[in-house]
Amino acid sequence: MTQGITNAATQQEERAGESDLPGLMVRYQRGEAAAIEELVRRLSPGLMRFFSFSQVSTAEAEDLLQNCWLRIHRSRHTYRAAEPVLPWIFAIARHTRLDGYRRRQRRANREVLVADVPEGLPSRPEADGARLNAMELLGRLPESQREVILMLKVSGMSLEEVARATASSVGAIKQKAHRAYARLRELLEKEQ
Amino acid sequence: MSIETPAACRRIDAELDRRFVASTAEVSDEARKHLENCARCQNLYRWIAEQPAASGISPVLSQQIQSQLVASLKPVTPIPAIKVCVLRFLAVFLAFAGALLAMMGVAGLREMSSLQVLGSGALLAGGTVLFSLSLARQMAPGSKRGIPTWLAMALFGGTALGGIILLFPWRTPGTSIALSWECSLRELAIAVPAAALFWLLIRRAPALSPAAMGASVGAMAGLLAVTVLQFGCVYQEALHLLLWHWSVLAISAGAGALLGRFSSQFSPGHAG
Repeated sequence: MTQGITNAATQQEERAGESDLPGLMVRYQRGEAAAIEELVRRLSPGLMRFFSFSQVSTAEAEDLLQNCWLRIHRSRHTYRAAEPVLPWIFAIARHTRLDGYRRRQRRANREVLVADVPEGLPSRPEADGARLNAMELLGRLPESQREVILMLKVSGMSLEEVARATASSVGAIKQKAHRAYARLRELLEKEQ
Repeated sequence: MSIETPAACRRIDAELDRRFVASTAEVSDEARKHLENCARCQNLYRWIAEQPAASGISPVLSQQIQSQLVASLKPVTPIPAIKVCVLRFLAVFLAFAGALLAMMGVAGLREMSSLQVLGSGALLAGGTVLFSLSLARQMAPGSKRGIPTWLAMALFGGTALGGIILLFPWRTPGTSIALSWECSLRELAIAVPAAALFWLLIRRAPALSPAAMGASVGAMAGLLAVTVLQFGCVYQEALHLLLWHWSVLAISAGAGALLGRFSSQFSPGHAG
């Protein structure tokens, strides 16, 4: 539980530093290199967590992260000053993740058509023991619920921020979170 | 580990529910005591309260991303505020519709009663504001959404259908199919360049939901065409209006959605 408190404190520190993100975004739009370096440094861990929990290998998560930053860079003019930054970032991250998933599906379909899949290949890329449990649990949720949980729990966003990033209402996000939580509770109870 | 009553566990569930949506919420003393003794609740708490192990990124990757972005860093002009975008859409809509009405005439206006003019005017104005707002919000990822695009379209479609049925006489159209078809063709001839014009206004926006964005552009263009013909066509019967005028709005919104979807499939990197 001490570990939990420490991590919660780290998350609070991360959130405390979010207040000047809009300012950094504006400086980034003006072309200040220091601003983008700071944004990459601050936001990449959260984005990496978001991609890592999408049932992909670390290498694929890093590719998604790089791809996401390129998209952020190309879309930087669409950030409106004084708007919250995280929903803007995660709306783009969400689509990067979705496109990555579609690309993997297309590749997998092609590979199945071209040749038989060799036996003994792991169905999922490598993951350490601690993460496997959470990933397994998240993997059993419907996609829309999983996405909400990833943003709320893994990336530490608020309900309002998740609603903006997913273009839905706070009520819908609350409902999805509660349904997901009830399902997770069932799964955790079964595991015992 | 003692076996706790399900009622006590349910109280913990309720507390954890609250914590789940507001991670800063404190756990009560009572809950803390229960957590010390109940393995089931401990397990749940660990999953919910603890942050996943930080997925740090390697300094090399971080450096690589930073240098990639800095290499192509130039100042950009941010897109205007939502209000400004809405006003731009409305201005373009009014200018385009006004120019066409000036050329084609307003024969339809003379055929309508005051109630019909007011009713159809309110419908068209409401639709224009609704779709302008929807487009302006879609231009920036992570914008606050009112109602989802598809729901807005369905609501507007339902209201328009009801409005036309109530406002205009429901009788056999006094036009031949050839003349009615001409109305639809004229609307399509207006909608296509109008869609191109609206697309020009939103071209800098990343198409995160290309189908929804395409549908909104199509709906705006279709609505512009409906507006021009609503005031330009002399056949003001409900059936004629619905079948040959307003159907073009549905067709252009559908075509826009399909085009958006199609274009996104062939440009995987476009979303951003």
